[in-house]
Amino acid sequence: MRNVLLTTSALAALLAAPVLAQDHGHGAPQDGRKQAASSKEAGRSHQTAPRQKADRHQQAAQSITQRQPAQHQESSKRREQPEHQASSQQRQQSPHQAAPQQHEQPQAAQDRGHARPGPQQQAQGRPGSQSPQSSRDHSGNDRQQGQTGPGGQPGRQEHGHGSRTERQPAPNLTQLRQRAQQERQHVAERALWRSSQPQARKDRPKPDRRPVVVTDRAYVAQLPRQQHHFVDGCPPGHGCLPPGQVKQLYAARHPSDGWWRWRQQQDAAYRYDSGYVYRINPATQTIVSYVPVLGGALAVGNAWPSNYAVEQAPDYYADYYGDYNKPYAYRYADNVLYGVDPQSNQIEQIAALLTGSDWSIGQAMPDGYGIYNVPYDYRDRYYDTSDAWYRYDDGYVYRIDPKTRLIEAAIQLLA
Amino acid sequence: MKKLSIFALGMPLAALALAGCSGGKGTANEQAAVADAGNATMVTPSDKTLADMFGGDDLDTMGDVVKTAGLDTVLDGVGPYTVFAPTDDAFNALGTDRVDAMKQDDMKAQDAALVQAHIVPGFITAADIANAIDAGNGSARMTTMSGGTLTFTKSGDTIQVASDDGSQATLTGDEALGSNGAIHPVSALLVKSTAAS
Repeated sequence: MRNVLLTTSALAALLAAPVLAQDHGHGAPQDGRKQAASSKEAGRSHQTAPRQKADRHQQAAQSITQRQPAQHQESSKRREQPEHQASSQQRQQSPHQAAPQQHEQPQAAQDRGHARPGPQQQAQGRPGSQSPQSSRDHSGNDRQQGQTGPGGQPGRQEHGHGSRTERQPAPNLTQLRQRAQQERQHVAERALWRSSQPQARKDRPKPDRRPVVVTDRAYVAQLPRQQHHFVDGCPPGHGCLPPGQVKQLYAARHPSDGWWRWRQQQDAAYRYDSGYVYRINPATQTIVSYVPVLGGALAVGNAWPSNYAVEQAPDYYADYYGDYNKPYAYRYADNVLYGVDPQSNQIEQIAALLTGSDWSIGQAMPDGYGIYNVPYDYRDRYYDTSDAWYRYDDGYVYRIDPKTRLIEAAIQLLA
Repeated sequence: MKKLSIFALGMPLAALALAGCSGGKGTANEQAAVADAGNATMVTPSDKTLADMFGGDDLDTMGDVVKTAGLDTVLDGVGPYTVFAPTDDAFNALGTDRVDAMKQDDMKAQDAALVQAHIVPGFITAADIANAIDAGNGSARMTTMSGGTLTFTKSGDTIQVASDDGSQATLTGDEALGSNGAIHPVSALLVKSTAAS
């Protein structure tokens, strides 16, 4: 029976797919053992922190099954509690806060070449994939901790600071899945917390500009999807234009009216005036709504319009495009990333133009990306083949299956 | 503007064509050919940014419009972007008065909208466009930063581009590759000017 359990555990460890894939050179690893060995070797320089993290996760997972009920409850509560609810003191003491990269690297392995993912990685990148999410670091850590001795025999593991040792049973498949799921939840919560805390940017170490392959959509920073939103009523500080003035505005067509063509709808007329584009009802010749536009109300030196919704940009975009030496808050509106002084609310920087296109792992690639456009520095690594296409958009390179046009992975260009 | 010759055709786009033909993983020989193509030598881009590469030759007006719009800092940033920049002649076709007006501060918003409509994400060379057209049964499309789409076709060796409002232009062929993107001069504006009243 024990042999059966061990065999099951070994198979589960081999089958467990990492949350974030790791590419190493050209060629697709066909053998799971070869892939794991390659990953371990290539990622060695980055694994000090990941192993520490994996240690903590594994010990926590073991604690769940071994501690007293009270401890179990406390541990579970701590894990389920989103980190943004923790006290500031806890955050400061958290190893994640002190070194975010240490936290992410177990999941975010560095991409080292144009390798195709193994079958498990591919399956993970597709919708509906429910394969166990265990990292190679994690499995390597299992061995390091001596849970399984040479020849697959269970070893001894020390617990706590005392000399007490006890024999640990090899984890079964269910336990492995639970552990992997817990780790995924933890990392996902951390990512969500980070994306919601742009003001903490100054406290984070400057990220490295190097690629990291992400195959789980939960780890891809998403821009706010509210686009081109007009605001009902009249702009602040401008008041509503008198009816006669609206009629003049409607009648005075300017050659550039069509340049905001993404706003055009046939049931309305669009006119620019004093920093805003107005939507005018042609029948009544009254203003229906307005939107501040780039270069108009949303120009450097202007205060952010007081009643225009603020969409905080996820940290990834602030880090990728922003000026790391400036204490700006980065806001996103209508495909533009703005650096804003959080104290004065004044726009200080136009940081980036973005498409805002919807790239979701497992979904079809958006229309309008028919041309290879990977940044020069990454062209020797990510180039189109009959197995994979690569397209760049808004700070990410995406890997696409040429046959299905489904997005297989996102390669973030910061680590 | 520093002009760089078109680098080796081949690589990603040959791969695209191959993908279009095989539709699958391809044979070992095909994959080897793709890998070889992927390693093809490419002309190293200038260390200048997009913002630096405007001006001189025939892109002075576009450079002025970019600055007026306040987007020179964006084109000086990390990018990368590919700009389809109307030549001075293309702007002059609007009339001198209108070109002069576009350089005034009260046209910042209009200029920003114009610039957004001429930029697509990423680093795209003329060879990339040509190969994508070949692989795409005669056309290739790219999304612009204004939410529109540019459609590229070929007429002989000339690459043509059309926006979804019906504006059309040709690429003059004098691409400039920089540290944060590429500039392709085009013969006309890719936004349509409605008649003023």
